[in-house]
Amino acid sequence: MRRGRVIFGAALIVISGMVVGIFAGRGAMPPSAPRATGPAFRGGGGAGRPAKAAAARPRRVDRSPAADRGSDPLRTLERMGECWRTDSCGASDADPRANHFEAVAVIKDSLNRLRSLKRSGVDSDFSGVAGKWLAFPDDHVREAALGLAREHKRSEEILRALLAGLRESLSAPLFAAALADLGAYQRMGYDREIAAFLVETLRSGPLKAGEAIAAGILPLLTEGNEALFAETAASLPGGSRARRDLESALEEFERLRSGG
Amino acid sequence: MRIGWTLGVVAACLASFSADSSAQVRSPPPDYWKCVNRVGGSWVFGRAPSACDASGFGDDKVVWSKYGPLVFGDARASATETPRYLEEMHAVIRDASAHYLRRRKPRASPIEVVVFRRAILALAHQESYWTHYRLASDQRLKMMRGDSGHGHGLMQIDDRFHFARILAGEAWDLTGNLAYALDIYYAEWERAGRASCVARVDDYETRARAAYSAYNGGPAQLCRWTDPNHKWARNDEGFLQKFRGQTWGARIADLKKPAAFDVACELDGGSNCLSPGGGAVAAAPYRAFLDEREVGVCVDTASGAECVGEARDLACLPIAAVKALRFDLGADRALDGASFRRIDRHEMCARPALGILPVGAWVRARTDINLRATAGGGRLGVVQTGEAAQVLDFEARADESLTRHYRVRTEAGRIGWVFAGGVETQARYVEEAPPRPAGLIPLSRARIVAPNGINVRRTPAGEEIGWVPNDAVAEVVGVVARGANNEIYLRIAARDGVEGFIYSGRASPELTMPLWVKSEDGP
Repeated sequence: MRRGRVIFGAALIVISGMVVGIFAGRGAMPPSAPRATGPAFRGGGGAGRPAKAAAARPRRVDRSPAADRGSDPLRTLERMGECWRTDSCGASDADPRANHFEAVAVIKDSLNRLRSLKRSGVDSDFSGVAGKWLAFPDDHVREAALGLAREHKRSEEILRALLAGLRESLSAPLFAAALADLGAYQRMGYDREIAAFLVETLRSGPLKAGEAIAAGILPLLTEGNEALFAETAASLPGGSRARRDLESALEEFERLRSGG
Repeated sequence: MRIGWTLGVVAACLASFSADSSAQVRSPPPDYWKCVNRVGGSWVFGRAPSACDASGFGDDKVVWSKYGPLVFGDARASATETPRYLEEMHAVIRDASAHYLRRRKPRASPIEVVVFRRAILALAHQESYWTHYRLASDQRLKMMRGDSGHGHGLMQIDDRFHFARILAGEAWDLTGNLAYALDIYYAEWERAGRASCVARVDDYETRARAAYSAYNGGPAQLCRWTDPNHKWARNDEGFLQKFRGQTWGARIADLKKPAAFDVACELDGGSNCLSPGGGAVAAAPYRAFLDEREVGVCVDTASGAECVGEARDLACLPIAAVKALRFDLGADRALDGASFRRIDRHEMCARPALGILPVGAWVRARTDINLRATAGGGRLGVVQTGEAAQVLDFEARADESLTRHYRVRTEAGRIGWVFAGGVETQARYVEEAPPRPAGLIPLSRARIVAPNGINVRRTPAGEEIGWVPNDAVAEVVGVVARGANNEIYLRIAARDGVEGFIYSGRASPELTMPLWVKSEDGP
């Protein structure tokens, strides 16, 4: 309190240009369709930034976030990414998180609008946009980006972006929701990468994220990864929820295999 | 039997029956949302302004039984109450931060653990003056609400950004509040180790400052602390002062005092955590290690130790003194080789004297009852008078009236916990109702949906004596639940000469019944 409060805390991915470089502008788009471009996210103090970059005087954008809601969502996303980074989204000075709040609300809205556009049949490829925003350090944005990604054909690029985003995520509900996507990718042959990611999160990820995985892992258990998850369960603290639920899922898997 | 085919089915089925899987936010809540009977406070430890009734987010009884010593009493003399409270809260934050770091980073150096712990103590000081629960002058239990009511509790979890989790009671629960903040601060702590404004990864004080800037201002503000002219520089200065000053230390008599509850166990979601409880102790329960994998909770009786899997079932133990028990699990004890009797919770809690309804039963609400995310936790909605629901789980408290909660699934598919009174008062809240077609646990007819059919067993989990194929319809003559995960076995009538039990999924933590059977119960 005292102006302090929890801001959405997922950590920033500092791998410069990691997603947007891969995705920007991919796919054929008609002239009238929004074009997917934009810079990668480089939050305060990220690798490669000048030490005092955060101290630079912010450049104010000339439009309020509210006004942005009605404009081209891709341009809005680009603008909001920049003003978020430079603390210049024109938000009120009454709260240290106001800039983040404002930016996230507009970014989410823009991603949801792209999702609606895609659903309505617009023949544009926004998968690069989805991948880029999965890297944004905010789980509300990641959730909207995942929603947009789901409107596209699954691809290795999207999987990489999803795994990278989840590695920085703190949201148990997002993990729970993403398990269905990971299951789909697993069936496409990415079993090893996905199992490694899940094990890593169970062992040393955010505690609630590990619990969400353990509670929902049953659909991702296979004969090929069963032993790995059994070993992982044994390494978790005795009596912990994650261990109980993972062991329980393994038992249920065994029952499913043997007919109950 | 191969399992590959089931994956898609499992995913689809579980997705349709899982609850609360969305992280969505709605319109930001207004200032002082759900703030009833607001009181002020002062800028001192334990009493930072403002505070509103805690009951808006969870059951006061849970707070008193779980966190009693962590409630600041406004009416008590501050000269004694403040140091007492500080000592209790220090122990909790100290243990939580150290355990958290060990879980996330097992190879953290001792110095990193020490500095991280100090950073979390300073963060809680900066955010709320270590204020969470208070018994205010109006004699109501309060939870601290800062920044126009948007900041919830010790770590000031913001309802404009964490609405769904606040609604589910995570910020109301002291451990949940801390855990949420630890997740966020740790993420920034790790990022700070790679930030350009932090010269060395082992410059922990600088990492603590950077992590605070991001915690306070958002992920883009990791290096805000380097700018003395920044509009929020005073926050960074305030944190640094507290981090370096550690003013709490001089007011705490025993910095090594054990926490009032088992903090590590609670953070890990343990089912047998130590808790302060209350009341006379007639037979002290203890946590026992039954074998390599299993930990149970036991009491000594004339015929030897009697054990249950989870502390939540202690209230069902069939001993005369059950009403005088408290959840103060004494010392750990190994029971390898010693005589003990392990009792299944469903068998033990089914004793008629307790009146606890079994898993699978249908109930009808006799009054409007809050639907909660956990037993006594965050409120998700209301089960309306007359609404029917199927029981998926139960919990009884070792209090005077053996109050109980049921986890239910309503006909409309909502899942949550409802309070159902005590032994004498249950009928005011719920009554048994006839089976409805919408149940997940069939009570009269079950269609087998497990693609490879289900084995028939002589007893639940017992000898295999037959098999029913996929798509067959079985007549159900009974339902038996077993174990901590509420594994469901349907007793089926003779079919081709075979009569026995079929496994039909579990009701916890995820509902897997739809993978096995589909109810065809008629109205």
